[in-house]
Amino acid sequence: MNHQNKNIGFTTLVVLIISVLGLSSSVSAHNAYRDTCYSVGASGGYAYNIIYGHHGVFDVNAFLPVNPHFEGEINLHATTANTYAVAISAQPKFPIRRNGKDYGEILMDTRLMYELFLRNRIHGLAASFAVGYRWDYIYVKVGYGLRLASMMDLTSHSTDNGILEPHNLVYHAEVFVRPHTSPWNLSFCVTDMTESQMERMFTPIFIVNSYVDLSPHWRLEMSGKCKPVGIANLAPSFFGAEGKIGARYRF
Amino acid sequence: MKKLIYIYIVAIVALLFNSCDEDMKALVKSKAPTVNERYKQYMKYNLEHGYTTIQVHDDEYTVYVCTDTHVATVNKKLQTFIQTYRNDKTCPVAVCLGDLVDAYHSYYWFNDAFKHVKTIPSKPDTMFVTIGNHDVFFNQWEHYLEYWPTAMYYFVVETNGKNKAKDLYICLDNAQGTFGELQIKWLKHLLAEHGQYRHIIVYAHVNIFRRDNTSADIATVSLEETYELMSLFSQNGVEQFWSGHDHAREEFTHGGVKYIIVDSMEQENNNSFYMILHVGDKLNNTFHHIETDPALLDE
Repeated sequence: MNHQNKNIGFTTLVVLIISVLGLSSSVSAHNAYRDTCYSVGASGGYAYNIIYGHHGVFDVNAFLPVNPHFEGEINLHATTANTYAVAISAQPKFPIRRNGKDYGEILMDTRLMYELFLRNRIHGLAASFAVGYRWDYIYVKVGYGLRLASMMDLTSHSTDNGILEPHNLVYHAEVFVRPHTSPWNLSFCVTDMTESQMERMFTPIFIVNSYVDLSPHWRLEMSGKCKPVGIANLAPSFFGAEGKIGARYRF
Repeated sequence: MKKLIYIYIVAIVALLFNSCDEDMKALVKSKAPTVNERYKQYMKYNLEHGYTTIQVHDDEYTVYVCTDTHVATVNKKLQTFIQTYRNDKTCPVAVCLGDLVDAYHSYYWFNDAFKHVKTIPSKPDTMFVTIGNHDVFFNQWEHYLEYWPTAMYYFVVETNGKNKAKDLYICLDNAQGTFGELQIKWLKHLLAEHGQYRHIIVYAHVNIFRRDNTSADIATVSLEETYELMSLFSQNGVEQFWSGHDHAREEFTHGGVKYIIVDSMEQENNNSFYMILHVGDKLNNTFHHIETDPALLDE
């Protein structure tokens, strides 16, 4: 069995992704909540993985619930391991109501993310589209993602192009202990798509999120992540973990 | 109704974790030691016994490569492969990229294949192997060590023709979906002296990219490890990275490194291939379909 070379022009595919998908929705921790307030947040913390060792992580996030049928989000991510990511999203949503009762909302979740691994001189664009459902205690999403990556310093004599990884299943399943209107909450999540990374589909990331409203405007947010590898090979081992704490101002 | 659904889910999960065909409990914890623990075992052996250098008379030679043989009790296709590379006068060494067996302690049958094949006097015909995910299922790791003392090593082929040259082949263990920090440090140390080699090739079992839908049901390594290795290979003269695991061939070049996934060579698969690396001043890869030698089918 032979496979054709799937290298394509990096610039061509960038233009294609942007024009076809347009703005997309982010899948950040804040996006999981049915928040109706514009907000900005920042968080920082400690992370460890077997490649980078101990390092710091930082995120700045803006959440834009434009109206009941549309919300957007921007997330900037940086680490002291010299990796960065920018994710932008726009998310049409369709509230489900019957006899005046709220039954959650269906979401068309799309996302465009630029991943910059400056330590390796490699960058990539990841894009995903997923259909989701969000209600008081659950948030689930499943869809399709792809990534185009390339080394930044390809020399003029190289015939290499970008490395396309298509056919990635993106998923997100999160359960909450409290409804979204609660002044505090705790959730448990498994996903391959965070605010800073779209992993391959068989490398799930396990996340615990929480928040506490300190006042009508200030929210304290905390999260913890764990990423094992090799689960789908029936030979799992620990890869990395992360803990963050941050604050969000809700207008 | 809710109770029935919960009972149904619990029953499915219980059946899953008690499946006889797969080590489903390994979804949570593998019975094999971690890659860092295996690294320490490998290095203990490697430091005591050193690394192999193979001498060849000519400037050019070939290396035969197979992978994912998944031997259970029938090893006739593997015998055919062994006979093929032993008969090739230009081939001093063969490599198997892991998933040697399927499960259940079949290394006896894998090694049995070598006993049935004639050796050619005065011709080196070493086969180097490494482990795949199937080789760490259940308690197979301990059984592997009874036959091979290491799965992380390097060997050098020295040519003694008109242009003396040294080619470096590095074997890594990523059977559990990660190389581990200790192994990557060892690799960096080894590649720091890449200038003395004509060609450098690295191989392991698990492919590090997921470029098509043939990888739909298997896992690769993490994104961070993929990119770390990409830059390491590109900056240190590695020309090719071989892997198996996917069971479907793939070749592409990026950053000056050719990444190759070799087809599987399972006994029951009618679409089995092996790869021949033709080594000279340049490297050239060819792929060859393999069927069990008809003479062996009657045995």
